[in-house]
Amino acid sequence: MKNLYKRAAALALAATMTAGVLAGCNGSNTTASTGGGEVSTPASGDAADPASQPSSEPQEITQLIWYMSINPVAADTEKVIEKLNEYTREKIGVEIDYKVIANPDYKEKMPNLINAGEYFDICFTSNWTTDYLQFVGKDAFMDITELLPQYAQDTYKFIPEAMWNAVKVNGSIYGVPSYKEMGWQGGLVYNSDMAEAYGLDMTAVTSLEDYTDVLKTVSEKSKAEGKDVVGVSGLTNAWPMAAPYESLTGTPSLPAAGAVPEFKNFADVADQGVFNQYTSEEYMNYCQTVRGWNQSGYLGGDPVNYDSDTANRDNDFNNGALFSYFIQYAPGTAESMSASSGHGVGFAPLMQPLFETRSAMGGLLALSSASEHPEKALEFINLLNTDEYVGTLIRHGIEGEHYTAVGENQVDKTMGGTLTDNGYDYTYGWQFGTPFNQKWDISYPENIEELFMDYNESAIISPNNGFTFDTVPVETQVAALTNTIAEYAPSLETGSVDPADYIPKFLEALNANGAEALITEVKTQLDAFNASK
Amino acid sequence: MKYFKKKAGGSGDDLAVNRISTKTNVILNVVFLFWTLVCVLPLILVVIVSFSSEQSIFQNGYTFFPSEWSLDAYNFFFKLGDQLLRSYGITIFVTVVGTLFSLAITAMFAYVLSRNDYAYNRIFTFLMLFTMLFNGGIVATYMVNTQLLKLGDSVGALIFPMSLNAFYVIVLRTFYKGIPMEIIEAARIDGAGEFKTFFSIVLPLSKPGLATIGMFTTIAYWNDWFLGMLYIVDQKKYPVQTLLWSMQNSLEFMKQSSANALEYAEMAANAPTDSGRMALTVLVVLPILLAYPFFQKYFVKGLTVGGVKG
Amino acid sequence: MKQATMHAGSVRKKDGFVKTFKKNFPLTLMALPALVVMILFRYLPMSGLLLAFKRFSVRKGIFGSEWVGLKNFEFLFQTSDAWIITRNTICYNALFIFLDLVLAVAMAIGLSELLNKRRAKLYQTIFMAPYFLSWVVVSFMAFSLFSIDDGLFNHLLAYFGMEGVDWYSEPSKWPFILTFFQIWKTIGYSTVMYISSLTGISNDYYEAAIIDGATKWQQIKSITLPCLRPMMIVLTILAIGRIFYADFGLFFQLPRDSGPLYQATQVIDTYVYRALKETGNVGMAAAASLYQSIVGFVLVVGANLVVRRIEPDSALF
Repeated sequence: MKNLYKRAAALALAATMTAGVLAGCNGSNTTASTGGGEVSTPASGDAADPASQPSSEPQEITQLIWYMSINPVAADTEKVIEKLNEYTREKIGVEIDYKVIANPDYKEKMPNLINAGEYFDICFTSNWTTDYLQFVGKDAFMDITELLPQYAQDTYKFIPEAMWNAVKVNGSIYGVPSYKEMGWQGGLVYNSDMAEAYGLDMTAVTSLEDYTDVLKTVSEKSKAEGKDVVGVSGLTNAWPMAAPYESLTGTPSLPAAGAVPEFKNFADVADQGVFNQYTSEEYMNYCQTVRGWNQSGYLGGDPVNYDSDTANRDNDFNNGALFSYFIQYAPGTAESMSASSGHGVGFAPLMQPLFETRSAMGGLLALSSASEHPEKALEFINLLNTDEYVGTLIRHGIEGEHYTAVGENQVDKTMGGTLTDNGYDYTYGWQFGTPFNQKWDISYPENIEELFMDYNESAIISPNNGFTFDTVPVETQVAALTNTIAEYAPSLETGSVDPADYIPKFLEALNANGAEALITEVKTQLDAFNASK
Repeated sequence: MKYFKKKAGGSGDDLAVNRISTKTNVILNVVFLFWTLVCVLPLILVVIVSFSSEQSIFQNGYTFFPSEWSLDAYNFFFKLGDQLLRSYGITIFVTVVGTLFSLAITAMFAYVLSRNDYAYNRIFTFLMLFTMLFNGGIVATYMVNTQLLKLGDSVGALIFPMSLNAFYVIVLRTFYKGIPMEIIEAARIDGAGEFKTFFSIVLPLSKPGLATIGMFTTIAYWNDWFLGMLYIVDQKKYPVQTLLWSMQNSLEFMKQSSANALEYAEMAANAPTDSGRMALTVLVVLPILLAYPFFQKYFVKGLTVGGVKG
Repeated sequence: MKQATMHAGSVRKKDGFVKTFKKNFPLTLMALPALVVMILFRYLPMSGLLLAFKRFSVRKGIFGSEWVGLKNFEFLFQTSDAWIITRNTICYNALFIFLDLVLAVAMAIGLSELLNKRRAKLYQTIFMAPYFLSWVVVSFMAFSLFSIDDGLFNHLLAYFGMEGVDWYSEPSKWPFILTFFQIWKTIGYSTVMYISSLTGISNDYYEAAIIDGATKWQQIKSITLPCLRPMMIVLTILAIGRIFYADFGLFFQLPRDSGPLYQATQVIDTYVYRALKETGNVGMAAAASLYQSIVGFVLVVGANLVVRRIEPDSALF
């Protein structure tokens, strides 16, 4: 409270400083007070060769402010960070001031914090929270293209080039991407016990058309048993899986797609280069297929609302009231789902994995453009990505306290009790960097890393990987189109409305709101990108 | 009720005339009873769902008669233990201090603006009203509050930004305007200064207005989760609304991505999302609803004081 | 009161600045804390209005960012929905303002006239209750009424042998649903405001009326309503100032963001939310908010002018 009064007294004085603060908050005088500048020195001299730095010599410790988004915030975070700091002080002369915020909160807080010019060194960014491209566009992140090979050499080599290319904006790298599964693979997870009982051969399913018969069988046979099993859910994500395309804007729903030759689809529009995927035959076919499913009652009564209630969906799936749903698959998912659902779970892929620019943006660690210690920050990120001790510590906590090691590469986190009692444990370990220097939970198959590598090797790299679209010239159109798509797409893509009648209306609305302008702009930027390659 | 009426009638004919007829009274009561049901049934449903088991909600949807009762939702929040208590403490502190501070500056400001003989009355009213219509947006507000006023991560960020509400100032000003100017003039002739007039004469006369605004301010402080979400980085310093919202959102987030959250899948499957949402509502609404009659008391007091002649 | 006003007016004209300032000093002192808060927390952030005309850069700050003219406003007008957005926002709010005024005043008078005062207090508390429920919670409960399969209403319709309604894709039903929920949620709040105004009315007026033999209805018409008038006017003007702001929760959460309902549920706040969800453009957000402010400002100044003509004492400024 005392502080409050002091503050109140200082208000009048502070008022005179407004103009300065509002004019630009990243001035170095601001950072000195917030950034813990007293204990640090600019580390450019002694950090040139981080790996061989003598640790016995007393050295200046650099404090790095790291804003991290991860869910849910673990109770023992302070303990673990203390342990981490012990290690990093020794190893690279760095101490972490760790500001960890739960994912949903981070989404609210961090953009404001960055916009306001709050000082930080490292922050988590992605295309689903605190948008990477958006803040690159606002000059919030530092260009680390030059520094990377120097201060995070191992990480630079370890992460495939395709990923580095994908995160480049105008040829510069602004963040270190999380290296995990490369790209995305759409398909169906299904109740394999039920499939067996009904005599379904799921390996034969390679397209949506194939699936109609499966749904028919499920519906008929379950009704014969006196149950009414919902055949499939998750249709709001299903369209791009039915006919995969490269999303050239980074937002798959925006009408600017490119064909991927390996998928042999979009024959009628592919020659346009950049096309509106909603005008394609594939879209009409998809909508008609699911319309048929809906009318045959395979989707439950209200597919849009059913899709949005994932808790209900999971419950139905576990209880055998739902046969299957669409997901983006990562290796090991089916195995662990079968453990938790109490019945066998299989996966029927609808496509090979596809790696496109946006795939690299599931998670990145970026440096603030105002950071005073970019070299040290990169050295630290390097540890997160390559150091086994750091990786396992930050994901699973302290050995003996939060987990027991099982074999070389696995951990058991139940510690004889249940998971909820564990004081430190993160499922989304990849958000810290990469899972490949972290031990794996025993619920994963033992050969999980191999599975990942197989997946990544089988991934198709999209033709225009590395192209990032700058939305600025067409922001008006993007704003209007986003609304139009939200209005029409969900009901079309869940079969709630008649496509023959509704798609023409949808296309008309898209054209009225600037779909053409968007496509033209994408073409222009894409040509420039290809010319500069 | 009949007895009451007779008694009142006995005490003076004029009062009996001033009453509505029994027939009107019955009609009004029927209307209000109907509306009571419309208002209270959802609230009861919230409470019941909050005590239903998640499985029962899946099976039957929201119902007044769940097939299975459960405390899971509350256990989920009570698991927070000390943190929950601390957060309640912060919220209570913010609500009490915030309301007092806000009411004090609002009451004085509104009074000044209500005085037609105050020279800057119109310009200040206009400036005040302007802030209700225009705002600088979240980026600039955040900059001023965190960079300039250094309120980030402090309880001040929860109190000051919402301490002056133009709407309340103008409503309160309207109350003051109902006080006859003669009373103020009389006090002045008696030699009372502006402050004395305000505190010893005007304030007591405007109790119903103050109670109304005080109550709305209390509700606003109590209900606010957004300032906490915005300005408080350290979860330990969250006010209770922010804490509960954050917990609930985390839970829903976890569920939504449970397909990729392998180790959590089982935990997520049993997590009380639906009942949790309702338990959260109970935990935040109940205390403030119980505090409501406290304010109501002053509405009646105002009734008697309001009758004082000028 | 009139006398006092005139008196003040003449003082204002005669005195010089210093003298006026001195004379008004005690009252200015009383206003000071609020003025300080107002300047710090309302006026300093106003610099953010500039962002409506800029492309924001974190490095360059608000003042340093590059000017882009009116580009940030384009998305509000260059959409085929521009008309729907404007129509919905204004019409719904106008309807809400009207209904809220009439119903809240009626309810307040009704409650204050009830013979059993304790019951009146209980009603009043209960009518406040919906105000405390968040729109998210309300939307879940509404879903249990309107769901196609399990909703209460469709069960009822089926019971009476009627066809179920697909509530979440029938825009024609939503003007009623939205209005009902809005009134249901806020009426208690507005009623309280008028009830506390009612308690301020001096009993002398009623006593005099009774002596004149006025019926209850006449008393309401010639005493209660005129005494509530200033509050009614003020609350209405203030509400008019917010006529271009829609309650996001009501229009977004309650219809569950259902696309087929947009004709009936799309308002400026939901449009802007969806439009900027992907890009997070600070400048466009500022532009939308400034647009809403300007419309509100023009309407408030206009309404205030009208009121000043008719009833100068109730005008805001």
